[in-house]
Amino acid sequence: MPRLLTFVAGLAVVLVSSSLQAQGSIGAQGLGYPVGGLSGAAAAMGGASAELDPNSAVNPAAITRSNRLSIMVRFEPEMRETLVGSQRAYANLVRFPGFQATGSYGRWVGAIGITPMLDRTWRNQTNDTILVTGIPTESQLQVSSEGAMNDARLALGYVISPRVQVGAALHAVVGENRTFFQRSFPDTSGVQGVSQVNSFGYTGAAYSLGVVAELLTDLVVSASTKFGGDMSIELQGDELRTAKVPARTGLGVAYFGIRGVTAHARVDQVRWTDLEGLSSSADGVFDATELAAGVEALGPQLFGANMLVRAGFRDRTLPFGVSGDQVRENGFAFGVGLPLARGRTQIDLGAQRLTRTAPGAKENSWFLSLGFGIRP
Amino acid sequence: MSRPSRWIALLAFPLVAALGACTEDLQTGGTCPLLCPGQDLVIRDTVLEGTVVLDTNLLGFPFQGSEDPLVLAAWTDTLDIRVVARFDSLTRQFQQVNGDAPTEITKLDSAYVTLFLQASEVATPAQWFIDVYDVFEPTIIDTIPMQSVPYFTPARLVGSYQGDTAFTDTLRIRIPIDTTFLRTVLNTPDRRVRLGFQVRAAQRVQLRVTPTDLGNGPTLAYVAASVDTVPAPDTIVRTRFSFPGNSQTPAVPPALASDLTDYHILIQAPNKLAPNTITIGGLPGSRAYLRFNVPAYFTDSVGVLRAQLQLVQDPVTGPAANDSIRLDGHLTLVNTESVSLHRAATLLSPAGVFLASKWITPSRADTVRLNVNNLLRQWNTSNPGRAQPTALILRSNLEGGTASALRFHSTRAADPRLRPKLLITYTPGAVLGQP
Repeated sequence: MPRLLTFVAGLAVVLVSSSLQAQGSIGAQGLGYPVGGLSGAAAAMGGASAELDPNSAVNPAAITRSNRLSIMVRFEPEMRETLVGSQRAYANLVRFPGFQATGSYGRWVGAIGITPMLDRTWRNQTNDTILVTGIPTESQLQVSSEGAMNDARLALGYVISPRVQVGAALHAVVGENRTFFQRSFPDTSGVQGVSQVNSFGYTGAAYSLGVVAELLTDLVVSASTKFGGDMSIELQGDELRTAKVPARTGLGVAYFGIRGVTAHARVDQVRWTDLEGLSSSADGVFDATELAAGVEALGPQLFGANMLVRAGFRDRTLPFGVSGDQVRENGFAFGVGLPLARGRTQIDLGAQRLTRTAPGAKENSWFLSLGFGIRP
Repeated sequence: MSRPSRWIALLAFPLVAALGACTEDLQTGGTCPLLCPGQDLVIRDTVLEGTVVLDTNLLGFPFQGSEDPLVLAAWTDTLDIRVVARFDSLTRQFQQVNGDAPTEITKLDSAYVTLFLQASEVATPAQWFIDVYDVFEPTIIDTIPMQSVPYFTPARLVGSYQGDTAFTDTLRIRIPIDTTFLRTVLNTPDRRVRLGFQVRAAQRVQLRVTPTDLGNGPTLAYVAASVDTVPAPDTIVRTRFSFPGNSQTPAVPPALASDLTDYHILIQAPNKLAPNTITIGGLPGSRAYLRFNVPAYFTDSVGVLRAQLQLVQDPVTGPAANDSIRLDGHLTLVNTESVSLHRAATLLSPAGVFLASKWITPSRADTVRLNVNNLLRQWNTSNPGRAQPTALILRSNLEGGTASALRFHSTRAADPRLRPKLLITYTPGAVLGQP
């Protein structure tokens, strides 16, 4: 097991150090792309099971379904193609990995973790011509951003009965964006370039409540809501702007009535407009609604244990617009879960094929998810 | 963990590592500006009039002895520049053949001084002369060059060279020196060899002489012969001595003696100064000192894309007025507490490091713009004064080597449009790249 932990740590280093860049993306407008806090298993069902998934940072009551010490790490690389008219741009992206540790004591279950909330990692390099003292002057623009607004969560769940569990969580919004802006000109132009390196920090707080209840036999309903507190964006310690942490409400249902198959559905709404005013570059902030449905089924046996086969679809809107119009994202997902070492190790592989559309632009994305969990 | 399961777990790592390590493929630009809001650069232009609060000419550059090149000129009635070279350290004793000890030099076969000449901006006439005078006089103060001028007299003429070539590039000449004069000097303790050079021609003539500093300066050579103690006349032994210029006075400061190894004496020069102008170049060499009062906003709070000092030329006439001169702008390296303008104009940043240089034709009346971007950045304020004096020094690349000069209208010009002004293109001090 120590070897496995070493691998996990090494893997994280590889992924973070090779952070790839994207640019001019539909998904990464404004304060960034809402990654969603989904585990590898939930992502493979398009997020349909997130309200009931103990490893997704969504419903604090759901952590009660992980009733023993476990550690989960997930990585979410993305490959996307952005089209504007006849222009195409390709990008590969690796985000800050998510992490969660869960443990139980009697009927109490606690979890602590951190997940990217709005990821803003990209780079843009453009050659253009701009007017300087009325003279068209060749120029190169390089803008990049790294980092994310992250949701650090401390959750506590309580098993009231086998049919009802509740939970509550405190959230700290933390993280930073390190940006680089450079406008350079040819030496022969006599125009000197401008560059800035900034580090924007985010701070904020919120809390959430959740419940999981088996209302009918084989039908589990889960719901959660998040209440946002104050948050701010700071530049080198100076507060620039303030807003509220977005409130969120979600509802999920799961049906276990078919042997070996679980069906999930979920609806979720995030009041992103609470962030209005926090971003100076956002071209419109919108509340977002997400719908997702998916199934998980026992698959063939592999090394003495059944694989889990998952599939689903999702449809949602994104919080930050393009040219003032809201962006829609939809697509399908699939993946497998590999329980290893008699359940002590779990690998969840998932892939989402997502399409984002905005007026005049379209984006196709392969959003991959790898969850790696151990239960010592 | 069973062995197969372990393999599956291990296989997952290279899979994810491969995903994470994909090489970046930036095919950018096409998605901007639609998908790149907030990345525009707001550019503003402004003209700061009256920002130059002091401008003046500072004469006397380069310092005596620092000339590069030395100038030897005679423009009949408008320009007279002569050169003095010192040879204070010479071999005065000579080992005679069969002699027991060195004795003074009793016979000189020949003596000459070598000059390395360069053509100047004034065409060299077909025939010209360089006369060499003995200008040593122990009673004069040798740090006052003009005191040597009265000794350029026929009675002190010790050599002459006739140039019969209108050379256009470089020329090395040997000027024969009177051996009697030189032997007398060598045999007289405390007598020094200091030679004054004067050029003459029927027309205007101007030559450049490479100074000793550059390793190709005036050289004095003489050939001593040993005859007295040799029984047979056909065994005469000749020894050639050659000395670059050197000066042993004044003793203090030591560097000054070295500077005065060779120098030129400006006896007469056309005046290139004019009211309400600043002059760069000419003889004596003039530098322009400009002091600015730039609002701190431009040095501290904005990103300057381009800053240009705009000067309007006042045409200068005269020989070679159509030949370009390079105008160099310098940042002064004195601290903000220095009150000496001359000192400020002496301690300079290397040319082109903080300011752009520009080739300018003196005879024109153009509007000249000199890039001063970096200068503005150096003028930022800190705790709470300026980090650097807000001054700019303008000088010519041929300073002290040509009578040509550049002249610009100053802050005292009657027409405000002719006065120096600062043109600044900047981006306001916004935080760029904000989320």
